[in-house]
Amino acid sequence: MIVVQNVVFGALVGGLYGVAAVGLALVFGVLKMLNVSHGELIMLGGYLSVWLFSLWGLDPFASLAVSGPVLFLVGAALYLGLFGRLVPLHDEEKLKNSILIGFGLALILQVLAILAWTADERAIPTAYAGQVWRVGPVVVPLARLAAFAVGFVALGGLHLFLNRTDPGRAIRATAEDWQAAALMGVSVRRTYLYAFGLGSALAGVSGTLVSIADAISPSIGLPWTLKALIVVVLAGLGSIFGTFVAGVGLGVAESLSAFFLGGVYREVVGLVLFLVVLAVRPSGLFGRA
Amino acid sequence: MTGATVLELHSLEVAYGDQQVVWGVSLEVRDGEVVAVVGPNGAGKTTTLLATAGLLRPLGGQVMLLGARIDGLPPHAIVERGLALVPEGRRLFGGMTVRENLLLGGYPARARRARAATLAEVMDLFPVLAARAHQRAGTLSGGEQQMLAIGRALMARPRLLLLDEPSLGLAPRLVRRVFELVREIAARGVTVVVVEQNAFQALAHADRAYVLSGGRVAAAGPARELLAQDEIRRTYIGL
Repeated sequence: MIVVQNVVFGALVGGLYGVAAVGLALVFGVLKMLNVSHGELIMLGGYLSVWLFSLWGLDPFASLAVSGPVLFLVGAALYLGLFGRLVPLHDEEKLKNSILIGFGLALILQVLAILAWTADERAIPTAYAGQVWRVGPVVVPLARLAAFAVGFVALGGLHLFLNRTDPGRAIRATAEDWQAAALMGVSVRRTYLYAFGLGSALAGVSGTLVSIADAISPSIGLPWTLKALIVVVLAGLGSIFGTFVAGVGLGVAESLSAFFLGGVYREVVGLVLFLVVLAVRPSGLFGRA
Repeated sequence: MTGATVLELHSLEVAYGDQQVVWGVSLEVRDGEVVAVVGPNGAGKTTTLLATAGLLRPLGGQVMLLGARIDGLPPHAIVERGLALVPEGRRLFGGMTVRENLLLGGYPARARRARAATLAEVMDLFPVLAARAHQRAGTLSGGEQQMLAIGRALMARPRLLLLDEPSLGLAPRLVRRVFELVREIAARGVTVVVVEQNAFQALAHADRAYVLSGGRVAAAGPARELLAQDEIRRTYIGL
């Protein structure tokens, strides 16, 4: 039964990996840029919820309505000030330079977070933090389950937006062939701006969902970027739900390997999966070649 | 039949990559015409179209659409002014459905208000697209893909339709069908420019034509006259 318990915990954490990864994949798929400061944007979303709770007692589930839009604006500003300058470059140069900018940005945001809020870990002590749901011998923490569900619903909303609306179709068209999209009357630069904003908004949502169950500190960014990157490689581009499933899979694999092999293997298993998938199926488990 | 000038290229100079391929091309297209642009591979035909549609920025010269300068505008702004390009190789959104491709064609603000009606018209013109509406564009046959590419461009309700190598990779029967469609589209009031390596078919269906060679206009005139000239036939058509 303790195995099932580990699977449940792993899956609940992994759902958040999935949400984080979809944001990263959206930016990569549309702009062909890798924002390695995605994790720092998650960290900012987390701090937003921490402060909204400790200053005004705002419930973290309610602060999703703030962290999403605020990080959308942060992302839009980063695109306009930094990443957007790379648009005229050829694909390979664009990718490399976006990684450099992202690294610099990650360091800066981390240091600014330490200066502003110290390196202390901060958590949100909600009234329901410790509540669980018992299913036989298995314990399901309610706050984590709710965060998982909210993440899933957010991705469902994104799926509907991308498939059922004109701006959503414009984003997908731009991802597939930006020149053809431009010939359809799509403003490619505006689409890039929206896609970057949307990817960052998903980082904000992830950050808030992380803050519901875990502590936030200035250094959580890099690990989250790495998890998101692993999940994107596992899933491949093009399927939101595939990415979510891959996130859950990574969470479960981590938790089981920690249980069976010991805690040190938790971080290794993701990288091993990463290498195996790259070697065997480079377009990812759910990717379109 | 021929009225106001729809498109005018004036001494257009364009580079593709770091090499100049179009050297001072001037041409004029009047309302209601079907104009063919023919010439050998590498003559600068596609480059001229890409610069006209805004995907390449000309080094020099002017592009006038319906009396207004459009060179230097981004492609999406040029579509809004009534020019639609069916690019070489069709460039469909292969992962999206036929219907989604058509809806994207109707994305420009000027076309979106009447999009449902235009969609019905296009499906009427291409019944095969209606039958395959929910199939992914990438799964269509070559001929069907060309119909979709043309239908998608018509969704923008263009005044001027540019077709780049519409017969490429199609069986002879389908090539004839494509050119019949070009006449049908022109009959509905859309001015058409066709760039083609299949010069015989293009000249047989066009009103006027330009022959490009080495990035310059080598000959111009009524299509039937060009088709009748022995020198043109030998040099550019291979007949």
